[in-house]
This record gives sequence, structure tokens and C-alpha cells, in this order.
Amino acid sequence: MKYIKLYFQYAKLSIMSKLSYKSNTIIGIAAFLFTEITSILTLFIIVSQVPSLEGWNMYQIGLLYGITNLAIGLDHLFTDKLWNVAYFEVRSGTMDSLFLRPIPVLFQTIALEIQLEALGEILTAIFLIIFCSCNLSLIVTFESVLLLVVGIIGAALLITSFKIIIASMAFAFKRTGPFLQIVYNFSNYSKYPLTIFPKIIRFAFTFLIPLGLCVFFPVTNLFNPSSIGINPYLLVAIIIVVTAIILTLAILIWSKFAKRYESTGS
Amino acid sequence: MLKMKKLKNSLSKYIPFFHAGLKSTLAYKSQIYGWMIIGVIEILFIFFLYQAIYRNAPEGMNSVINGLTFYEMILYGATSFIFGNAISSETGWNIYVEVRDGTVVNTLTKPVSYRIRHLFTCFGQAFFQVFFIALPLLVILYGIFIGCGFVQFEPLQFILNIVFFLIFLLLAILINDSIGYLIGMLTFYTQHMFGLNMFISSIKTFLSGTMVPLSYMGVFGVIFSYLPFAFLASTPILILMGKMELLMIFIYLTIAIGYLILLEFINHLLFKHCIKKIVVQGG
Repeated sequence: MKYIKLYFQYAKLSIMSKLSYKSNTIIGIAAFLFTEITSILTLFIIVSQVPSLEGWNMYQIGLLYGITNLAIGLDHLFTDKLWNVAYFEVRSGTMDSLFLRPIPVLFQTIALEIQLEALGEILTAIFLIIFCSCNLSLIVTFESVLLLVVGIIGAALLITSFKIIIASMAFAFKRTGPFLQIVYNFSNYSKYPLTIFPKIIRFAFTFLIPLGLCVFFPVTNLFNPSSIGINPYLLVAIIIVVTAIILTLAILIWSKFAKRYESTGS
Repeated sequence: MLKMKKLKNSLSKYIPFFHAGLKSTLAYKSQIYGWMIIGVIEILFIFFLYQAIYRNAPEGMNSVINGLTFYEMILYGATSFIFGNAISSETGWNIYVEVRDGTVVNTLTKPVSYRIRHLFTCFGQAFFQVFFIALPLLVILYGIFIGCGFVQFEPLQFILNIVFFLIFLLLAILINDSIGYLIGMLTFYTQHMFGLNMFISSIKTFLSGTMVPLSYMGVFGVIFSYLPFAFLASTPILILMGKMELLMIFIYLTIAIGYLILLEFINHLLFKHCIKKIVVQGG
């Protein structure tokens, strides 16, 4: 309870500080919005060259893209400061103050920044999901919606977990931002149907970086439930367990590496 | 003769800025490895995506989509990634940092042109990016594609393509740096770079044909091919791949030079306005 209250206090401070530079925040949101629009246009231009891509039509691919982007946007909104840890903050020693407070450092790192620019990403993702859903005959049942919601939250938490793991390594190696960028770029693969990739990449996105498990299967279940070959409730349980394990592992790795943090001595 | 000597003397004072640009790029060699790994991921992604597109096209992998075969499309994508890095410029960010930190006044008080100073820093950066990364990678890439018979070029025509490509590469570096400088000038007003940079990056990526060739965009693609952004990817790459007629090359060459002059003129006017507006905190 104490941490929930504290989180909202931190979040309020972050939003207030962002809004004190209103024009910058608006430019940031608009920039993300515009970037996403051009990415979506590119996607549609490429996919429209063929009637379907491995059995997926343009709107189904758009839906998958939107759902994945929504998960990425949610992670971006709530945990953006991890990028700074990976790139600058350990190196510059600005994390000293967080280590001096009697509150978990990871909690502070995440709570200290609400990245409003991510709203541009989230808004375009929601628009794309609505637009594509209207052009598809989706099978909307309690289980398919539950699977989708759990999948989106699971995917967002998975991205956060991988960010925590790589950012925490900066405590030992000072700068792991470029490595985080590589993993982030690799995660873009999950915006497209897994069926277009070779088996090794499908395996990686199902078992190693299980973003495909969280997004690809729940989206497929919306229009072709028989093809996922697993009971949706069982899939919900698997997503929850896998996400919980990876998140716990990420927190443990963070705690271990955080002990190696040393100030710059300036 | 005397004029040439005078020009040489006046430009020689910018040589240290060329070295600074070169050294700053060399100092971040480790970033190059990161960029290469990202490049492999991106190019593999392009490969898998277009493989699926061509596999699902009516004539399968032998299809020609918007004038490009499957291997030509992969070659376009890979060239576009390498080219994008070769012409990248830090000028916009460098100006922003100077504006933010107030160090811009130090350079304004010196007897050097602010624009030429940044241009020489960009040349230093580009020198390393072009001669030590992009050109060797392009030689390997085209060597593999030609050697394996994925694409075919008539030798003499290909040499001519390379010559024109190098001219357009230089123009792309200059146009991209001019755009970077323009964005840098805007930070005098916004005091913020991240959003602006993201904005212009997505415009450049989309309108230059970096992600998808402009021929995929129908009539819009034709319009976009006449905008300055097309010279940052589409036009030079299509020239190298032998996809453009000689007459069109000369037309685009004239347009590119025209845009460069226009951009520099706008930059000149903007700079004159910016230095009247500048406020440095703390003095």
C-alpha cells in the first residue's frame, strides 16, 4: 500500500515536471504519433503488394502490429527511465541519490518517470486495432478477450523484464544501451506473423523471448482459434507463469548487479 | 590564381574541425559493432519479410514487383541501410548541445563561419563512415550478389553507375547535413531536440525510400522522388543498381543541386535570425 501511494506521488511529480515544458512534451507525443503513422503506412504499402502473407491478410497483420505496438507503448510509458540507466546514469553517477534512500532502487527507477511521449505510440496502436478490427470478422468471446488482455500485459512485462536485465548489467559494465537497442530492434520481429520467419526465429519468439507466445497466438485466436492448437485458458496460464518467472528473474538479476554499483567519485 | 590561394588559406582554418569530426567518430568505434549487429538484424528482417512477399506473389519467387526482382529488393534494402549510415550527420545534435550548454557563444565570437565549421566536422565524420565502413561493405555486398549471379550488370554501364552514385553520395551527405543544420537552427527556438529529430527522421525514412522503395507507392512515389529526401536513399541506390536512365540522372542531378542551394539559403537566413534571438543562461 505504501509503495502504491509512493508510486502515484512519483508519477504525479514526473507528469508535472513534463508538463512544465508543455511544447516539448507535445512535440514528443506528436513525433511518436507521426513515426508510428509512417511505420504503419510502410507496413500497409509492403503487405498490399500481395493478396495475403502466409495466409494473413492486411487487416490481420495490422491488428497484430497494433497489439504488439500497444504492449511496446505501455512499457515505454511506464519504464522509460531504464534506457537512461543503460546509457548514461550509471556512467555519470547520477543514481547515487536513489541508492541512498530506503526504497528499492528498481522501484524508484521505474516510478520516477512517466514518459508521456509514449501516448503517441499508444494512440496510434489503439486506432490501428479499432480500424483493423472493424474490417475483420473476429471471434469475440470471453476467453479470446481474456487471452488478448493477458497477452498484451504479459508482452509489456516481458519487454520490461528484458530491459531490466540489460539495464542492470550497466551496474557492472557502465554502459549497455547499445545492447538494449539491439534486443529492442530484434523485438520488432514480433510485429509480424511468426509464420513468415524460419523455424529458428519462431522458436526464439515462442520460447526464448516469448513475445510471440503473448501476442501472436492470442491474435491468431481471434480469427482462427483452431490453428493455435492449445486451449486458450491453458495459454492464459502459461503466459502468466512464463511472464512471472522472467520478471522475477529480471528483479533478481537487477538486485545482484545493483550491488556492484559504484559512484563516479566526482 | 591569387583568388584560389586566398580560398585555400581561408579554408585551411577549418581543417581542425575536419579532424575533430573524424576523431569523434573514431572514438566511438565500439558503436560501429553495435550498428553492424543491428544492421544484420534489420537486413535479415528485410530478407524474411520480402521472401514471404515474393513467395506469396502470383509468380512466386520469380516475380518482379514494382520493377524489382527478389534479389534486387534485398540488394536495395541492404544498400539502403549502409547508405543511411554513410551519410548520417551529427550537425543537428552538435548545434543543439551548443545551444543547450551555451557554448555556442564561444564559436560565434571566433573568426570562423558557423556553417562551414559544422560542414567540415560533418566531412570528417563522413570520411570515416564512407571510406572505412560503407564502401568496403558495398564492395563485399555487390561482390557477393554479382558473384553468385543474383544480379547482373554490364561492366561498362556498372562503372558509369558507380561514378554517378559517388556524385550522388556526396550530394546526399551535403543535403542531409543541410537538413541537420536546419533542425539544429530550430533548436534555437525550441530548446529541445529529441522530438524534432524524431519527426525529421521519420519523414526522411519514409519519403527517402529507405524502408520501402518509392516505386511501391504508385503516383505518390513519383511525387516523392522529386523531393529532397529522395536523394538520401532512393535516387542514389537506384542509380547504382542501374535502374535509372541517363537523362533522368541528369534531371535529378540538377534538382539535387537546386535543393542544396535552396536549403543553404534558408539556413543562411535562419542563422541570421537565430543569432539575434540567442539567450545564454549565466553568461
